[in-house]
Amino acid sequence: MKEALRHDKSIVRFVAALLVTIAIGLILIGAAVIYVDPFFHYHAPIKWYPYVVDDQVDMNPGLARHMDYDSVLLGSSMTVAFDTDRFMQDMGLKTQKLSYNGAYPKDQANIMDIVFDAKEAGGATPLKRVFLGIDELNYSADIMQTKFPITDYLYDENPFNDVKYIWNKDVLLDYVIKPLIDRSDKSEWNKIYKQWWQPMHYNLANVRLYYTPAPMEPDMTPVDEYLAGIDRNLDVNILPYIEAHPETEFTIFYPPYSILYWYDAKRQEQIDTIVAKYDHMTRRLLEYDNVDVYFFMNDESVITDFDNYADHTHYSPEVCDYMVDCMSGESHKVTTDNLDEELKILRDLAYNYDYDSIDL
Amino acid sequence: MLFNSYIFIFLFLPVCLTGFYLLKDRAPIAAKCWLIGLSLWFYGYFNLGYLAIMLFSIAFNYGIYSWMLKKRGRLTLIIGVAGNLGLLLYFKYTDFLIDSTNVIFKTDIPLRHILLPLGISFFTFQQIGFIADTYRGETKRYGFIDYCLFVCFFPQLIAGPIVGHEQMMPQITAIGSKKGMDGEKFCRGAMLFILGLAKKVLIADTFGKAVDMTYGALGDGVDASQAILTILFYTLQLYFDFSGYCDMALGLGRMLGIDIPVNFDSPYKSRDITEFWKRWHITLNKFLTKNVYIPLGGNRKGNVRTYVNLLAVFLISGVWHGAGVTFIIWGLLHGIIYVITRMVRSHGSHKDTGNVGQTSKPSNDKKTSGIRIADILSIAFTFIFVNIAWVFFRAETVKDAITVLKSCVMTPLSIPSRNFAGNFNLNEFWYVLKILHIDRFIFAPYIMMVIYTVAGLIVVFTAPNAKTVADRSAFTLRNGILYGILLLWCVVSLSGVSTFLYFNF
Repeated sequence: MKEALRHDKSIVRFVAALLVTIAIGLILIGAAVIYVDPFFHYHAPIKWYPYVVDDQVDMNPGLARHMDYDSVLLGSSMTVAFDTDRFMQDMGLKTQKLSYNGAYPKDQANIMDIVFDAKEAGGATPLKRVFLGIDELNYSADIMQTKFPITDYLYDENPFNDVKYIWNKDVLLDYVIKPLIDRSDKSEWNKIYKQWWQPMHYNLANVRLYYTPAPMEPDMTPVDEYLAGIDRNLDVNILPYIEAHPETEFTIFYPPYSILYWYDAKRQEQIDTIVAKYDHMTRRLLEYDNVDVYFFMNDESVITDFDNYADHTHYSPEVCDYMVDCMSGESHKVTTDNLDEELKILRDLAYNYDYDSIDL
Repeated sequence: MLFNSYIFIFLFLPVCLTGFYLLKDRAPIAAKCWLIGLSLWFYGYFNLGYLAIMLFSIAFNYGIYSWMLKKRGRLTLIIGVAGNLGLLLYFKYTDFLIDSTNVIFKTDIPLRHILLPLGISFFTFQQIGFIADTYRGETKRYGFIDYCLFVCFFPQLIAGPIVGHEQMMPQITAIGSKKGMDGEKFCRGAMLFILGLAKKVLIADTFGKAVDMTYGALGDGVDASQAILTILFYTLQLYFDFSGYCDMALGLGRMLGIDIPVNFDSPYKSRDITEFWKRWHITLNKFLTKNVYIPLGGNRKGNVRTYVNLLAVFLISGVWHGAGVTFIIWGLLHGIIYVITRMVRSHGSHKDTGNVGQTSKPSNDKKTSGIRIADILSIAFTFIFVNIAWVFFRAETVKDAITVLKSCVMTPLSIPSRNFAGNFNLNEFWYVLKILHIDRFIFAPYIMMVIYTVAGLIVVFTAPNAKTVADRSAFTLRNGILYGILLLWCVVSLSGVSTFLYFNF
């Protein structure tokens, strides 16, 4: 009898120890994650903490919901090298960068949903301006395609699946504890998501490392090949936000890829097809009073100077500053009046550039 | 739903256990219905369509069973088995058959891309076994609720073991007959569940990342060292994945007072392939022995027929595991080596005792005076063969399998890439390396890969299985804290996608 009682007691002690250990562990881990909130899911960043902001898919929703801003910068990796302080300096705009590397239109729609919902819910600072970099290459994709799977618990409103966030080893070790131990990766808020390239990497030698000319295609791609896809994406993923928010100014720009981008287009007989895409997109966007469009892809001084590039498309922070300056001064702005002329400049440059002069 | 998911651990399991123990003594039938309802939720969580298929399968088989109770005829058996195989054939093998037809006859029939209901192979075979046993007069009269719970009991539903009615039905019908909760059984079940979860989440998934990296980039070429390590890592991954799953299933069963049969018993300790098949996926081998090998004549019709029967069993085992040529090759490889082993045994002084799946005690359970060199060589040979055969099990195509195997001997042996080794550098170990100041050494990126590999091999060759560990664990404060920490480590490691390897079989 005594033996059985002792056995029962030991079982109770074992169970109690097991449950208490788990409970204490879960409470401590959850509390640490919620307090630091490295993905900004619950609150804005705490002042003293050395955040590492490097995970666009997981962090953008929180940044959109909880940061204080009056404009946003959206787009692909073509937007990560921007210094958002430049927007304040030039235009007085407190701009939040919300880039997605390789972004598809659906990625932009997902984050615009969160941005506008947050602004409508919070209401303190209205959204004055959206800067959106458009990469023509991705705008004819499937309308539901995102570059990476989105993280459900950070994008939806379901509080129960937040357990995947608050009891998540990677979040705890990589984003809560590690930044305290190794502060070298601490992010500068005005330069979040920046590329790892340093100033010395912006030159032809570096471009050459990554670049292989596209294979030659014998046949020309029909000029209207991608226009239906572009329409579908604009109609579903971009224009509804422009229409729904006439109070917000949409500044749309086409990034300046290097001349090698056009060399590939030429080899693949796609120059006219791409020009037709720009033409079609721009005309549809310019139908709205709250939209301005800026062309940088035909700026010869930028795109033919390889000191501006680390690979054949990604340009330097200096080019980004230049683009902000241009948008502030309304230089490179395209209207229905000068659109044909700007496209002709682009087409002529793409067809007639002396590609042999590039030391590949 | 996965065992290794937040919803299972924090919602499903507590709700299931609470409801079951509240109902068990007061209303046993309600407790069984509770388990059935929860099991249907568990299964339907993946896809509601799956649920309809499983319910249809249960209703069909119970109908056949009821019919057989009235009139036990061969025709009923044939209809029952054909109905089950037809369902399995349609959902699992349609695309494989179309694809094979297209290749052989150079036709262009479009694939159907039918979604494979999880665990269909398991609950189909389980019910075929039940129908066959009913035909043989080995079953009793069971109510629909008991039968339904026998098939859809969630711990064994989607990845086995393939349980027999003789093991499960007495326990299911007895639910509620013994009042209260067996605290020790419950706790040992919880221990086993935690150990299984750790094997799956902390070990198998880590090996799996390295394996996936290699198989995902075969087109880029793979060097000898990476190919050899990938083969070994997959062998370890499968071991920890499958045994981890089984441990969790057994643990959950125990927590509900049900003993699920052991399916996995340290198979890499086997001295030959016949022993391996007494330790690996034990319940499938029992099923195939009872329902395929013996009906074909077993070893009663001479040596040649015995070997043909064995090859047939392994061919079916291969096809059962997956719809593809690679699985057939895997099955046949095992079959051929199995037959050769039997031939050698018959030729020598050994008495030819074993059918495939026979549960005679493995030879290394016998008390011996020590480990002999011959034993070590036997274990090594068996392990190497099993490694090679797993390549066909894992590879998407025969070409991929051959690429991996050829890379082992046809490419230069070099140090594996840091990226490959990086799969083992889990976050938590970064801190350990940092504290020990060894993170700056040139070999630092490889430390965890070496530790994982050596530890994995030590466990598979020398450690007792998790069931033994759970059975021997004392109920002390220290163990409570240790198991708590292990569960905590698993829980915070659950993020990300992880899939049980045995789900589609």
